[in-house]
Amino acid sequence: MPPKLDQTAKKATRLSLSQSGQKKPFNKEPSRRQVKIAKPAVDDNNGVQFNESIRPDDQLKLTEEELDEAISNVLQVIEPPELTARVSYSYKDGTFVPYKNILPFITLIDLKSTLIHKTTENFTENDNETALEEIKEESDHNKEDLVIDSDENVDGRTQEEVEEGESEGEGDFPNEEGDQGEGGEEIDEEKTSKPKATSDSDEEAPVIVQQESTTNINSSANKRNVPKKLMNQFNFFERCALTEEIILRDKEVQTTPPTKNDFCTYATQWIIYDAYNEDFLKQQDEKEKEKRDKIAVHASKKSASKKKKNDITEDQTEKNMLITAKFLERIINLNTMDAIAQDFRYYEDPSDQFRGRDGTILPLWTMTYDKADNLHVTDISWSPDYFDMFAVTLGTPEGHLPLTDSPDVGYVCLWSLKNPSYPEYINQTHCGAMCLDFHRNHGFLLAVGFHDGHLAVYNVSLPTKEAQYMTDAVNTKHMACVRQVVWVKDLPDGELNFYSISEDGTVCNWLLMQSEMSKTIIVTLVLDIEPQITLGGISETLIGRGTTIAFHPENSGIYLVGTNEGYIFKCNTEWSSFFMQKFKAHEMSVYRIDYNKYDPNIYLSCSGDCTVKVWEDKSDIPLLIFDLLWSVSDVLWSPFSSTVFGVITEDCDVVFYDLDADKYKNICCQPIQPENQYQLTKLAFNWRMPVIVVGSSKSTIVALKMSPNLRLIMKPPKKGKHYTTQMLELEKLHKALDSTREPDTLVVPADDDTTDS
Amino acid sequence: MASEVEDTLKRIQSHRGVIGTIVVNNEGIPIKSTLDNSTSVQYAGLIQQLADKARSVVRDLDPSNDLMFLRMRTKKHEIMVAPDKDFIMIVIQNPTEAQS
Repeated sequence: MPPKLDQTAKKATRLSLSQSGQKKPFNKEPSRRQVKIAKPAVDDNNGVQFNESIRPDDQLKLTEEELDEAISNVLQVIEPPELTARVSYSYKDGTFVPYKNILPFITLIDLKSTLIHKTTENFTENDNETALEEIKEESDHNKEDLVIDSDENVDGRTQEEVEEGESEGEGDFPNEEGDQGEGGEEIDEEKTSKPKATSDSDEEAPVIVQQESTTNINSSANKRNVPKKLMNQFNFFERCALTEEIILRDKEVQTTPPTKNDFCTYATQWIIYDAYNEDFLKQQDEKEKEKRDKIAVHASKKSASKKKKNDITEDQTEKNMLITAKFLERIINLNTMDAIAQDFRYYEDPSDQFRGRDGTILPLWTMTYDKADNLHVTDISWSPDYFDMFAVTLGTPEGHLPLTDSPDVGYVCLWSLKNPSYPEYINQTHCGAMCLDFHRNHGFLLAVGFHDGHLAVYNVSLPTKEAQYMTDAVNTKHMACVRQVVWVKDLPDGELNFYSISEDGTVCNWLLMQSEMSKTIIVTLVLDIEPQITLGGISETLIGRGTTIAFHPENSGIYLVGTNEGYIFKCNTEWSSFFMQKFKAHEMSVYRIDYNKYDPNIYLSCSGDCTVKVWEDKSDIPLLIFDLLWSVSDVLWSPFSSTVFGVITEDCDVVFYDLDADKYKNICCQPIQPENQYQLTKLAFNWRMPVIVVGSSKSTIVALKMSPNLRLIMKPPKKGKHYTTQMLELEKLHKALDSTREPDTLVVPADDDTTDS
Repeated sequence: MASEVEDTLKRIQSHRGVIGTIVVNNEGIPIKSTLDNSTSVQYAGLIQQLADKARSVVRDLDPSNDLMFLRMRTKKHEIMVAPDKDFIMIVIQNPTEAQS
């Protein structure tokens, strides 16, 4: 395109230069050509001009004369009029639309030019030619097209500048253009557009202008050549490819101010500590929840658990309240019974030192459960975990059951010495509870035997009063009253088990399984004596009604059983049909057999025949016999001294013997509340404090403190070999018993009668 | 459970020398009292403050510790306070009467 332009420009300049004295025919010719050039240029949109010489049909046809006629040029010094009726071609509508921008100029680009204006001397021929050719072009359309083109390409501009020339060649134009550069050119072109429209009527006007304007054109063309702006794909953009610029707008919005609150609180160390703890718990909870969610719980179950949770919190408050109330009760008791509590802890009878070996017992608390005040205390067992807590069973023994059919009730109560006014734990049982035992290692497990032969295991640490294990009424239960239960060492695989002895003559072992107790009959106490009972020709063996059982402290397989008939059986758990020893020990029911705490070869038995006998293992003959004149309900070795044992009799005496001090006389005999219809039933030594508790037939329990003389132990000698207390106590016991042991050589001593009788 | 609490409170009240028992909820309102209204309200208000302060003292000394019980021996009475998270139990006892 540019080369073509150059050619036309050349021609134009040549013409103008050669014919300074202008003639019409010459003038017309280029103008006609120019029209043809301009038209296709518009169509082309790039402003490419074709140099074909086709005459338009509407061209004015002039005669030779007319052509020859001289037309004079007129110069007017006026401001170039503004372009009016300017139109632009809309590619969208396919028509010309009026150009709306009325400003006389369009800034295409604003560059601070480094170019220096050159004067007209540098005017080149090429420029001149072009200018001349363009000037010739007269038609309105062309002019309009050219205006459009001027926006887009250099060629357009060339033509327009020619047009500037048309409108009354202004002398000062070149200067202006030189100063303004390209911007200037455009101003010019727009200025010229108006006069063009007006001057359309007289066709000659442009032609006249042509000559004078050549100089202007030349200067502008020259200027254009210097920067040499050529169209290429990099600096030319089609209008239709240009996109609209996205306009950025600032928008301001005012919001309502956030509400303000005044807040004040303490932040102490413990509040912060609590907050952290709470947060930690929350985190733990969330972790657990995630775990639970993974396992996928049903929604229904979830809601159920939530409900439970609420209940638990309510329960928790109530539980706390109960604990607090109980605690308060203890404190009040401590206040009211301050003196007794002090005695319990600190009082040591000072008169003991003037009394020789005799001792006293100091009554401390008397505890009664009011609701069961007509029941007997049938058994007492100290808790292995808390030295000041013990459990009792309340019930009515066989022989004391009233003839009227009053309900046979029983209780299991836990008493604490801290609150002697009310039991810590009360559990009413379906019938009279007869015996109980704490598990040595699991102090919350309580095995209880009942009057009707049932057995149960309670967990007293649980809020529920339900038995954890209970015998079956049909299959497993004993046929008669259970008289004693004893926990024994756990089996090697950890299963808990205990033994029970019942009046039906069987010793049973009970194994705590997952959900039930399994029963094993260890031995049936067959009394192999006359008269045999004969029922319809079948002779039945007499069966001993077991009353008490005692396990060997060291050899757990061996145990002693006392019967209602006064027999003592020595048995082994491994043999069920064979007794290691069987002898008649008492005339009446044996109530208790107790191994000495220091020497398991020595044991005690007491009986309803008012005697207490000291036995040596493997012997049928007692070492010592004590006659107490009243039925002896219980006897126990003291855990503090090897030679001391305590006895309770039915006439409410508590008697202590010390074999070391006196083998024939007691060292202490004190009545407790000598009332009618009041018997002592059970005795229990505390394993830590010098305190015994004695149960009575009126459900009262009396705690008594042993004076120092009742628990004398051997002091190790200050000089010489060191002996442990255990050894010294053993020695003391043997020394005391040695004199009673029968020498092999001697004949039966005189007091043998009592044993036999 | 609730009946057990009732029973225990009843037993407490029946003890020798006990003048009154008050149970205060966590808002400081006496919800159960054996004393007359104005006295219980006075006790509740004053002792709650004291218990809070005492707890603050104990916990400030060692945050993992907590106040369990508060006994005040006065010339005439002994006031026993068992503060809990949700309630405070107060028992007023005359110790001289109790021992006699």
